[in-house]
Parts: sequence; C-alpha cells; structure tokens
Amino acid sequence: MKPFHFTEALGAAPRNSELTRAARALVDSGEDPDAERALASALVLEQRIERALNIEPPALLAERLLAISRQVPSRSDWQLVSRKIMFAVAASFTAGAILAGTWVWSTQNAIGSQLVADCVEHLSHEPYALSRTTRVPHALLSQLFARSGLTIDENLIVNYLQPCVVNGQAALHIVMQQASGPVTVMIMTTSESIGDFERSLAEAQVRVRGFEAGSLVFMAESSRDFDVVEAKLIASLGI
Amino acid sequence: MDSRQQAFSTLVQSLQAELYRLAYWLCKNQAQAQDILQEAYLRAWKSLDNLRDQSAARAWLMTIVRREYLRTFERKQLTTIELDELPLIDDALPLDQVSDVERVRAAIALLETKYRVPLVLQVIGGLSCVEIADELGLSEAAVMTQLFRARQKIKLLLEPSSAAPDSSNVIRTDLFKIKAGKA
Repeated sequence: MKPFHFTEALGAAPRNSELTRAARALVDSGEDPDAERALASALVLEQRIERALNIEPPALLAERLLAISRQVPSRSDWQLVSRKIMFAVAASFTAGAILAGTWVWSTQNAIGSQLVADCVEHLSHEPYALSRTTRVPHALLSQLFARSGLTIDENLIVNYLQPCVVNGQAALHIVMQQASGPVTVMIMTTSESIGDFERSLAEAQVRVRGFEAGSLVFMAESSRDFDVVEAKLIASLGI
Repeated sequence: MDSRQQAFSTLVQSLQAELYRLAYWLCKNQAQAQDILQEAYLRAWKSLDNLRDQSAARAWLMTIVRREYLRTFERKQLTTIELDELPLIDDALPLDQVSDVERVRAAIALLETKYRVPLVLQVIGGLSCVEIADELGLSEAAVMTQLFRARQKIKLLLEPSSAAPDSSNVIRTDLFKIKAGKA
C-alpha cells in the first residue's frame, strides 16, 4: 500500500485490520516512517468519536415503542377491524366532500372548516385508533403532552395516543372510549385558537373549542358525550 | 403476549438504543429521533411477517430508520415546526470546562449532512464502505472520500493548531451557537 492510499484508508476506515500490517510495512520500507504513529492517532480519534456518538435513549422510549404492538393491529388483526376501517374511510370521504362544499359556501369559516376537514380526513389514516380499549400509561401521556407544552393529571383515561402532523401542524391525536362510542380529540397546539363552533356532518359530529394554546377538535358519530369528554379534558389539562 | 408480540418486544429491547443513536445523529434532534424511531418500529410491526431471518433484523431496521429519516426530512422541508436546540453542551458549564465528549459531539453535529450520514452509518451502524455506498446510492470511492473528509473536519475542529490556524475560533463560536440553541 502506498503512503497516499494508506492515509486515505486511514481517514475512511481506521478500524480496518489491514492497516496495522500496512503501517508496519510502510515504516519498514522507509516510505512513511510516521505511518504507525498516524494509525495510533487515528484510532484515538476514532475512540473519541465512538464515545461521542454513544448517547443514551430517553427512559420511556422502549415503553412507547412496545405500545405500538398493543395499539396497532397486526395484519392478521385487520379483518377484525375491517368494518370499522371501511366505516371510517367512507365517513371521511363523505365528510370531506361535505366540508369541501361548506368551505366554498362560507368563506367566513374557511379556516375553521379547513381545520375540521383536515382532522376528519386524518381519521382515515389511523382508523384502528377507534377500536383501542386499553388505557395508555400515564407516564407516556405525560411525556407526550409535555412535549406539546401541556401538563396533564393522572385522572384522564385515554385509549389511544399518537403525535401526528395535521396539515403541517403538530397535533396530539387521542381517543377516549365513552358510552356512545369512541370520541376522537385532536389537540392542536401550534396554531392560534380559531374560536368555538360545531359542525354536524353526514357521518361525524365535530366540535371545535379554542383555548389559549390552540384548539381542541372533538369528533365522533354522536355528539352525546362531547360535553363529558370536553369537561374531563379541560379539567385534566387545567385549561 | 403472543409470539408476534414477543418477537417485536425482542426487537425493541435489543435494538432500540442503537437505532435511537442512529436516528438522533441523522437528525440531531431528540424529539424528532423518537418520532422517527416510532414510525420505523410501526412499519416494522406491520411488516414483521416479512422478516424471515432474525439475524437480518438489525440491518432491516437500520434501513427502515434511515428511510424514515429521509421521509421526515423531506416533510420537514414543507413545514415550519421548529427543531429543538441541540442538547450537546451542558449549559451550566463554562466553555473551557466542556468535556471532550461534548466537544466531539459538537464537532460531529457541525458536519454537513453529506459527511455526517456516512460517518454515523459506519460507526453506529457498522456498515462497510461498500454497504454505505449501496445504501446511499453513491460509489464506494465517493463514500471513502466523504468519510475521510468527515474525520478531517472533526480533527480540524478539535485540534485547531494541527492545520487550520483560525479553526479554534470556529469551534468556540459554534459551541456558543449550540449553547445558545442557534445551530
């Protein structure tokens, strides 16, 4: 190996075992008396790089990842929830079409309608969320809410939790099982509040509540449990 | 817990730390790294039946993480979500007391993506130059050059007297930027 190639290989892959022999040969032949020193120096730098790259993952990461297998159905589970998926997709398309009409008809509510349309459309991406019945661990809830700048008490029972991006905005997607069925809430914290209003769509009822840090968007087949869920959420978040 | 969940749990417990490191050093952001890892494991969970050879799990997941990073990175170009500041330097420490590990971390974080990604794939992922070239769609020679330059740049940032007389100011200035969350 020529000195030039040795230097190049040293920079590209200093752990290459062939370099020890090559360094010795270069020293012995007198082509590069500093080859072994250069190799030693490169290995010291490599150790420093390895130490620097060795960062610890967050404490709750494993729990968050393991929750995937509890929250998301496997391929074999898909048949069991296929009816719900079909319903959610159909509802989303219908609601989306109606909302598109609403948006054109009423420019005054354009921002709110867009938000609602995006949230309803988002449901079709995670239809399995509606069938979750196990409780999301509080530690996980607390961590993800904290990342959105929110604190949450231990009383809130949430059956599904996923950080999402809706129309370019960060959102927390939660589902709370109620007597009338699942209630989905999108907690939007990266946009300004757009006020309070409700929409009655063909297949889904929607309520939007503004708060200081953003908006809460409630969605369900029936609005019967909106008051209950809203009260629980507001009490738990302290907003 | 069924056998599928058991297999998934093993993948999480055995590889999450390593994959988190990979994701973190690709995006340099803790929250984004966690999201990348969550998406990657979600894809892995959905496709777990395709993984016939358990010994290939590590390489399989690393590829998923890197692809997820690319997807996230492309998405981030379209949105305006702010990145967290880099948690590389302990704010409580005066700059002259910053540890060697933190200085090296800051230097690595300052590398351009085209230098940092192959380095991370090599050191954390354990990939050879040929494998990195295959993964990144580059020639082996190009990868070797990028790895060579990555280490040269780190060296220059850490040992300013060795080649670039003014690079001590660069690392100090950049460390201050990182401390201030401006990097």
